[in-house]
Amino acid sequence: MTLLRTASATSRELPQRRHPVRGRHREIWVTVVLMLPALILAAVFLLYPIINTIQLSFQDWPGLGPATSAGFSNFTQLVSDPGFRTAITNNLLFAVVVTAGTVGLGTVLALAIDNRVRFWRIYRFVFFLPYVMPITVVAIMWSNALDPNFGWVTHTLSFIPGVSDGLLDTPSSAIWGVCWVAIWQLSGFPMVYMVAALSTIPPEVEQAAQLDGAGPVKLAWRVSLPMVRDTLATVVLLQLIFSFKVFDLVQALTQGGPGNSTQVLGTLIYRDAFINNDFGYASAVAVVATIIIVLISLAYLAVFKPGKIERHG
Amino acid sequence: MKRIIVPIAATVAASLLVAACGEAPAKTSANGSGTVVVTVVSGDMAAWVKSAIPLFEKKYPKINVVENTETQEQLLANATQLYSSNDAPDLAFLQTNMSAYPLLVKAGDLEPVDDVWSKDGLANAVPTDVSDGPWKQDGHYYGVVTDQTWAPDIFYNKALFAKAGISVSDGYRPTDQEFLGWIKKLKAIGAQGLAIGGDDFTAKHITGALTQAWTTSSAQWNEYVSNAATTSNDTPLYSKGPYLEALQTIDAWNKAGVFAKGSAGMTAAQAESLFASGNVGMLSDGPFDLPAIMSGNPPFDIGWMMYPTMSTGTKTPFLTYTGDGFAIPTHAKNPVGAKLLAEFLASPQGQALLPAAGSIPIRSDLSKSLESDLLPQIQEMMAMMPSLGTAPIWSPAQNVETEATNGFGELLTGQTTPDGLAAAVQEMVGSGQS
Repeated sequence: MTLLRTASATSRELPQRRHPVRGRHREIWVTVVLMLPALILAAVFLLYPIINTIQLSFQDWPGLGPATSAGFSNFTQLVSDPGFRTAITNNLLFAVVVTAGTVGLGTVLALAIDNRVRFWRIYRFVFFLPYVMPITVVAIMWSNALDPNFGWVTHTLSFIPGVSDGLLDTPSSAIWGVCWVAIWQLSGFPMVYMVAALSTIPPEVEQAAQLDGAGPVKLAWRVSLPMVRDTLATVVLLQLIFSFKVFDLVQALTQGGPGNSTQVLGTLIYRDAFINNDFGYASAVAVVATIIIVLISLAYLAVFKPGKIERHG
Repeated sequence: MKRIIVPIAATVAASLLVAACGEAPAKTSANGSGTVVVTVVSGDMAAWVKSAIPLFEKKYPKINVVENTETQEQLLANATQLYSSNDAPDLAFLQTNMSAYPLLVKAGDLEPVDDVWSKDGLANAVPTDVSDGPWKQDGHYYGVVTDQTWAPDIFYNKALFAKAGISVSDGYRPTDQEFLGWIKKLKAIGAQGLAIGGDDFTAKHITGALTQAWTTSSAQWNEYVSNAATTSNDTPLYSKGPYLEALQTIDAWNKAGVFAKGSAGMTAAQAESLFASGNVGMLSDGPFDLPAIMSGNPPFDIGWMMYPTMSTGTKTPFLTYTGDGFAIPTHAKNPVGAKLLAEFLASPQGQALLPAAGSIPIRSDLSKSLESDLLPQIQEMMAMMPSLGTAPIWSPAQNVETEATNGFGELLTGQTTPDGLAAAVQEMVGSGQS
């Protein structure tokens, strides 16, 4: 009885405290006011630069003075530019090889660490260490190691055809050398993610599989990895995007050379904008590169649906 | 809520206080007193300016000079934006072959400095091709030349040459056949031929030197120097003639094993290290890098020679470069002080400090005794310069230089042919001019 009385009193009081329409308006205003600073910042620092870059891709601008209209000439030049074709090919190769390499190696290492193999703590530290090293340090270290005249790796592996000429100094092998250095450096990132994901698997599940006779490989392939496939899909997407945006490692390691053999979109944009002062053409390359990254990411999301996996997995 | 707001408000207030107490922009003064910020490229230029600052500050006690050092790569990438911005230094290092110089002049971002060229007779103390050269734009000077150099020379390892049975004296100018014969002799004793930073500016130098070697007259060479797209009879300059012949020579040298292993992907510094290691007979470089090589105390004597002559070309001279200098951005906060510093650096007193820093003065009215501060090889080069001859260096536009440098690597690694590269450079020159 007391409860009923209280409920009835509350329902009578509510309309007096808050008018439904006025309240909704107020909520909208509060939302707008709270979001306004973020929206302004996004418009100034994100939307405007994007629009500006698109605009610049249809102009000629040497970096100073007024820009002049160029129509589609930057884009037509881009189609016939062998340097751009090389950069696109290298970027695709780099993205696929480095994503597969880092996620593959990182996952294997994560499974080993999750199974508490001997010295697993040391492995975890050692394999994550390259990821926190500055890119320039990594680049200096590996360009010295792979130097055709002084490099210890070159000398050690000189029995392999092509290595003695310098992995980074021969056009046919240079991009593979860059991929290797990237895999060496970046594998720690998927490893840490996968270790965290694998640790969420209830031990009973693995114990049950072991009782059913599953060995370590079968356990990993049939039980552990399917249970963390949402994390795996997200890590692949992140690595794919990281790999497509690569600039610093290539710039520090080979500067796109020898010739154009390790040129990627990032180094090509840098060279055209800041060395050749051709900001219009560099913007056209940047626009096309962005479209490619967005399309690949959308295709990946459509195929693997990491969000859906996460919600229902 | 109060617990959150109070610390945030305190932080904001503290930040505002710190910002308010920060360094105020320098005020322009009529006599230049205050701070002069000078941006210099690292290396011998920076060492020279550093040595000049105490003397300048002694002469002008009310001026304090702050030196900012940037690498060549940083300047290439930032000079245009930095020097045209409100953060521009008072005195800015520039090179006439950097695309930034003509761009900044055209945009009105550099102060005219005609009076600096008049001071202490600078315009008359430098060669006429310098005083009438690219520093002068639209009849006015917008930068002040500082030094001179030349490139490329071939430095050689005297011990390896002796071991290989090659007899050569400094300043020698070999023929192409002689040069290729030396490579065979060097290889016979297990050494490599010629080290070069094929992924660096030195690639431009070798292309320029061999192009000059294939030219048949100074007029033809001057067409390359002035970067004309076509010759007087409308023949494309780069896809035919000496430039193409130079690329064919590089290709032939490469096939003959002239270049040291890894030259296509090497920087100039890496090539110097390789040469200093003692396993390479020769290095393609310039006097500006010799102090760095010598500072490593290589365990052999270093000699120098001219680039080889070709069968039908002219004798190879010293290809001189006078494009290093300083300019005063219009956004400089202390242009008066900057001009005083520029005058000091270009004066006989400032120029006299260059040899000790490893650079060669541009003024001809200095005491010859100053040259004793230079390395013996450089002194010898300067002494032999009148007899061996000089010509201006090939300094193409930045996009052409990039294409030529990348192309050199591609040529060495079989990714392109001399004809393919020549056509690409010709197209680049044409697009640059249009």
